[in-house]
Amino acid sequence: MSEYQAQYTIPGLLARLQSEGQLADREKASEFIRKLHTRDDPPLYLRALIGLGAFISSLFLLGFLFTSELIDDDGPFLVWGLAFIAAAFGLWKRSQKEGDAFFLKTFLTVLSFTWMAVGKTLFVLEFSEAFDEWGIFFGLGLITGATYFVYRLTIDRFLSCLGVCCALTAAIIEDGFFNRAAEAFIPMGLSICGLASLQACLAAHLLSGRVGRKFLPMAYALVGGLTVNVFLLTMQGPELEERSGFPFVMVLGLLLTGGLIALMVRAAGRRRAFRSFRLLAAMLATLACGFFISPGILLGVCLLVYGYGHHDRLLTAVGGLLVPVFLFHWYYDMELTLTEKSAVLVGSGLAMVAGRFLFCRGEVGEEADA
Amino acid sequence: MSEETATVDLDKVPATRQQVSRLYFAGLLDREARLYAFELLSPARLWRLWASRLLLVLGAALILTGVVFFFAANWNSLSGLVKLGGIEVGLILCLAGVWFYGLERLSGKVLLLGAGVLVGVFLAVFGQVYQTGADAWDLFAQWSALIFGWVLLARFVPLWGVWLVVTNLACGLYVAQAGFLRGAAEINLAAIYAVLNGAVLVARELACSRGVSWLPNQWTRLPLVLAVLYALLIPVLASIVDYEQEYVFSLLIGLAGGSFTYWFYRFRTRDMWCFSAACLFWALIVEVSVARVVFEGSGRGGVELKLLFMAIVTIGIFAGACWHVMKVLKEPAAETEKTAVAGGEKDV
Repeated sequence: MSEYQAQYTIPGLLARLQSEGQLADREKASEFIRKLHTRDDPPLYLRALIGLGAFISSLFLLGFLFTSELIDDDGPFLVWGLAFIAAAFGLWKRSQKEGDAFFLKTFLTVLSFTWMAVGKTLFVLEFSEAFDEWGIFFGLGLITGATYFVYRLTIDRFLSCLGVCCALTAAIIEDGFFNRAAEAFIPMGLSICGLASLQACLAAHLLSGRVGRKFLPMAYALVGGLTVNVFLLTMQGPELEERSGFPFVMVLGLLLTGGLIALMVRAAGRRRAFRSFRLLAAMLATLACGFFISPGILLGVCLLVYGYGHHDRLLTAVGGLLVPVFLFHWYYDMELTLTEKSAVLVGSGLAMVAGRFLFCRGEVGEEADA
Repeated sequence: MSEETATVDLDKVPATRQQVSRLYFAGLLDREARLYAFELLSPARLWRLWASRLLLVLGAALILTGVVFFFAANWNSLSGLVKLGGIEVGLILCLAGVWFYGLERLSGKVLLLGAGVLVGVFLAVFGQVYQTGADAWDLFAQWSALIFGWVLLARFVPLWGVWLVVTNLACGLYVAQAGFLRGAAEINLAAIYAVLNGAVLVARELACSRGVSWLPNQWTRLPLVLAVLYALLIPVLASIVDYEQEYVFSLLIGLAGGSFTYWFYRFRTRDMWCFSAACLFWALIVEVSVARVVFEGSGRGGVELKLLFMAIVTIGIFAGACWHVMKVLKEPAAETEKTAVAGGEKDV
């Protein structure tokens, strides 16, 4: 991606802004960014290793607790859960006293995360016993809210928030998509559409820079939850539409189209976007696509555009994975013969190539091709 | 491991839109400066370049898929002449496009990718029309051999990707159809995949170390490393769980390959993602070995104690792996200075 992006380091950008008279106090700005990064997270590959280790060991630990009959089907889950969470927090605090170079710190961190995972699982089990699907959501939401600001392990924040998002979706669906009266389909489908919109708006807000970096794991978890909702509605939507007569997939598609157009307007400099004929045409084409293209493809494109514009490789990579997956599903799911599908495929491919030539005509045409 | 770690050198921190927004919301930039910084970070010219390439790549992928679908759908209703002639016309048009645009431009490369895919379609149709009786592996092997020259000429990663997939399929189908790996020996297929993809990975690293400019992005390395390590891991884990005589060749390749990957990405060309993957490879091997000893051993203690022991061991193994990765991450650059010209890790 680097060749498509302007490469500035923080000092380079600040120096440029200062030389153009756009920045008064460069030192203060540098110090501000430095402070943000002194509290930086370990790299993603380390977090993945910690997460995988804690996941496997927490399974063994849960297995131990149940086979040893320290905990049985009746619990007491809440007591054990809170005890593990408290112990995990204590271990984590203890680990902070060790230097980064010591094995003990890493050991305590993985142990702490394992205990936190076990504690949260047991805590949620208590609620699920009492209130089923909604219990999982409330239990996980409660414990995530209580630990988010004090237990500052990024991977725990991300996974817990992702769990809350998925639990809410599961609670809305409850016993499955179709085990309900026909009149209950519409509220459920609209709830998922509404939830997806809410998650998208909240994630965009948390990623915008208005709030602290501690909310970034929550933002990525919201993107994960949004993807789950879009995936579910894309897969089950057609049958849901057939039974309820309400176009859920189109509604979700149009909502995501709105998001994509907003991203385009933002990237093009807000009001300036409406002065460009090409951009207006692109927006209209996008709007038209919203009526029939799979919401998953639109979500993938949204993430690609957002990730590119914000230099966020993670979101770009997720978008890049979602587009082919949902494209495959969309064409596979079309109720057309194979010949008609091939015509649609070639037609849409030609439309994209034509769009590209229209888009790149003139000043960037040659460069785009170079 | 927590959010508090060492201070970073700002010269190594890329500027992003989010950081500019943070400066703005902290009152360190005004609105005009924020918009100006956005324009610097994501100029309209680069947006258009990015969007145009996205449209070109997606469009080409859809057209090629549509062509393949068309021939699959109309198999019986098309005459041999139409089938073969249609593909040949497509092939010639693609190659004419390549000649017109040249291989320095993206359009030319994408058209050559199209020609590469059409060669495979042509071979499949040819085999069906003339009932050559060739096995499926034969088709993929011919396809791989025929487009290899273009792959070398194009210097285009997606075409390399297509070639690698086709070649892997040829190998896999050959082993399955020729039947020289039977029973327990089938595990050696994983080692064959590892050797094949490992050879491509080695070629990539050699090319990077010689300054080839179109390869250095990390995304051309990491998927290959993960695929190779996965293929190496299967026979090793299978040997640990239930060793058979036929596994010995794959087991040795697995262990040697894992060791080499570890050494290479730690000492030769430092890449922390690939190095972490190698550490995970070894962590999983140790984990499964211990689990086998614990659960299959006749030692005293019920299953609950074994589970507790495994929980502690797992924490130890993964903590050790994380600690080791962190230690290497903080090693002075001099020890790992042999990083290839442009393929190395940047977050040292």
